[in-house]
Amino acid sequence: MSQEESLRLGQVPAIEGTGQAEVGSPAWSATPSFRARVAWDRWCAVFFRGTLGLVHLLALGLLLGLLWKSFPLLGQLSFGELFFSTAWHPLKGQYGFLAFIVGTLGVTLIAMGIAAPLSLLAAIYLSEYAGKRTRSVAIPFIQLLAGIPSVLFGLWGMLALVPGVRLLGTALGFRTTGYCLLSGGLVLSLMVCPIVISVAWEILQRVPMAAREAALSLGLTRWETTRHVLLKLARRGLVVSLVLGCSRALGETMAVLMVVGNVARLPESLFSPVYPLPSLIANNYGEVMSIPRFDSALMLAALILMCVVTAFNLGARALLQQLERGWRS
Amino acid sequence: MPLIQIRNLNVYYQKQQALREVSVDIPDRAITAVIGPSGCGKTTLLKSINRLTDLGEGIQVKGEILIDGANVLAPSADLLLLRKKIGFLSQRPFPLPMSIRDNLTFAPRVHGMRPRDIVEQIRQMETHWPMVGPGMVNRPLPGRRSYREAGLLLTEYYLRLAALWDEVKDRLDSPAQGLSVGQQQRLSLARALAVNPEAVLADEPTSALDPTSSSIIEKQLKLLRGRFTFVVVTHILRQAKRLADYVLFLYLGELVEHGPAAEVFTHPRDPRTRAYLSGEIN
Amino acid sequence: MRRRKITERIVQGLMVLSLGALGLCFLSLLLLVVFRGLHGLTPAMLLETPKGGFYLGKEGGIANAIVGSLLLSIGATLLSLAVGLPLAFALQREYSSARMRAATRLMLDVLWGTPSIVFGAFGFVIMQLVGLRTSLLAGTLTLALVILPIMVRTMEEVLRMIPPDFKETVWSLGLTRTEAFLRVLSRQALPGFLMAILLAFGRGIGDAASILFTAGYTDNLPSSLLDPVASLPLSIFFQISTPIAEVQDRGYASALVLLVLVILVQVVAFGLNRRFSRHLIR
Repeated sequence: MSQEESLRLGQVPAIEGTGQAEVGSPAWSATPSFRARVAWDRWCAVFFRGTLGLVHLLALGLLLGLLWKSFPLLGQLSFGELFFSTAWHPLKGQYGFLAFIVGTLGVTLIAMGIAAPLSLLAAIYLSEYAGKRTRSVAIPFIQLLAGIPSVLFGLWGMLALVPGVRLLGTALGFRTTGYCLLSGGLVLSLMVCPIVISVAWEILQRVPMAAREAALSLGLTRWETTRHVLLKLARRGLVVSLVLGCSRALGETMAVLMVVGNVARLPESLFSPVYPLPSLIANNYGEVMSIPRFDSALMLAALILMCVVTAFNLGARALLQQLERGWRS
Repeated sequence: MPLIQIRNLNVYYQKQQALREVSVDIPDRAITAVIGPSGCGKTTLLKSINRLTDLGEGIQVKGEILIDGANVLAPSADLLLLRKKIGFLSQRPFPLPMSIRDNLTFAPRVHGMRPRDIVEQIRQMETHWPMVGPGMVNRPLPGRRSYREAGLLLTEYYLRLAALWDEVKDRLDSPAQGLSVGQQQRLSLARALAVNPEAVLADEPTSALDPTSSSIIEKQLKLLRGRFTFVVVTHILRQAKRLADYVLFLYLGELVEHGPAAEVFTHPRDPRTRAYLSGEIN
Repeated sequence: MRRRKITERIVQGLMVLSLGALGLCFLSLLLLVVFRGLHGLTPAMLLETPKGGFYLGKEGGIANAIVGSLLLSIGATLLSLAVGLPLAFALQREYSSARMRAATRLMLDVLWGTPSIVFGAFGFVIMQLVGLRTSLLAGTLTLALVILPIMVRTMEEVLRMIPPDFKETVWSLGLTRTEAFLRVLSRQALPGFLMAILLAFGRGIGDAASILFTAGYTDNLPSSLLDPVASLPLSIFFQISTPIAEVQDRGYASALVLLVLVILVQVVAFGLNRRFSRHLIR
């Protein structure tokens, strides 16, 4: 049998080339302690493998649980009433998700629109231009920032961003409190940057040095090299970094909740309040028991979120796998 | 005044010294072979000349390298001009992620060469150093404004110089990554020549290639040496003997001996050179 | 030539600006929390629980939230570890087939990307199903779900990075795979494991969305697993949301506590990793 198989069955791998007998042959004495060790190994393996099953159970349970809980509502209202209507009146039994979907997409788009160019430029700088000292400071700092809790970003948003946006909005002629789509997008873009920068940087590092040598030795500037050679080679990986940032933006709850206004209406401008899906769920769990079908509605919101984010993540994963295959060849 | 003059070159990788007090003039329009055991600084010497050492971390380069009399190791040196004048062929060819034609026309375009410059460049080349054949010069040349035709002319000319034209002439727009290693290396040669350098540095250009491709590259180098200066690093003694007009022997970071190939190979002065040539040191 | 250099300079400037803008925003976040929170940070804040009217300006502190967050996070980390560590082993080649591994990694990726609010909603569903009320137990379980994928991903990477020759040496000693992993290879993986645990812990302290519905909120310290429990993020949120200035000030102080905790955990995590990595085989 192959070495892998014999390993999996908990047996000690036979020592090749020494002429020693394989496990199980009469010349090999299976002492009681040896049998005990093998048995212990087998039990551990069963336990370990059990956790694999647990993961599958969890993932499927999550999906099915949300689906099951949303069913009542899905059965009652039509697709159009649910996803294309902005009429959100739980007491009257109207659950139109459009405003929330638009809110979620709006905040995410603004966040990515700002974060993408800034983060990519920063990542290129760190990879191609920055000296060792800058990098040794910047990269741990960025990793630290990725771990800062959402509430703190929300706090900063409330204190530093919202007043500024209010000023900007009134200066431009809009009536706004500052708690609006733009604020949400700005706070979110800040939260998304660390993850995009760190993934993009790693991807750029993996482009072989030979590419840079080949381009630079032709007399190209660093930027020309980056633009025409490196970015082309790293394109898929950079897309992955953006997709990952996007999925983080879609699911972010607390920070956005604190600055975005939470009004279930389609936004008329950047300075109108919006109500993204995560905020909807977070704000209303208290009402869940008192209004019929409300819990279904919230679970449906969670389900929509999960489906979209999962689609993004699996897409990123597929892209990454293609990349890895490309590098190995 | 020779094109490339090296004066008191010292290179350090972190704390280790890779090159020690190297001083030499590289003869123009000839093939200079840099020989020596592996790890003795041959590649470092090459990369110092066109300052590819800037890419590495913790590499310190001290001394002077004069190209056309100007020290390129000075912080104010014009790197773009330097790298246009001195081309580079690496051990493993790396095609730019574009079509074959774009691989060749990209750098000239970036350097701002206009169609008439390209036409003039090729005409000059063929008139004074005919290498491709009268067909290229005598045919009707493109008008002054046509970028596309100038690009095609450039592509054809330099691919012929690299002995690659016949193999790829019907797929110029296909990605360069699809070529075999030997073809990619010839493409790299054509690409390096297309910006009209004075010299080309080649770091073990045939070590990754099969024997047939290797001999094609060697043949082209010998053909081109009348027009360009070549500095070729090689660890294959027989290749050095085939190609070299001038020889540099590097051992443990020191330039032990240098001189015309005939002299160094038949009457080496230093015992270390003798030991290397006879195969004692590897 | 001049234009290219100008472009290069402009682009470099833009890059530095981007990095600078981001750095500035983050710095302003840190400074904001520190400066507005520092003077509100009294021992009473840290050691007392909110008395009646705390949210209206009366005395008390956030001990309930600090203790609550620590309990939730420690509990979730331990729970996650109990499942995650065996899981990381199970994902190694020696324990499962390639197909099982690929399928499980897919599921883990799905879980890894799921927003914590979705976990919170799911936790709520389970709570209703089982008849559990908002409690320390429910919050811990939900939080464990959130940090499990993060922990496993890091641990699995650590195990995968063990050099294969090291593994071969261990096999040739005649150990069973469990003995090999638990007794020998774990030492190699230990720093990485510690870092994974600490990072997961840090993530757990700051997460609010998952415990919003499941842990509830209370002004008291929990006396049993079935009591609702306060948490720092929520405490901050509630204090900031009041219009009263003193309460808001205390909110910033609470934010400072959270910030310090999170940064401390991360610094310790990276520090431990580096310190223990000295004895690793590379």
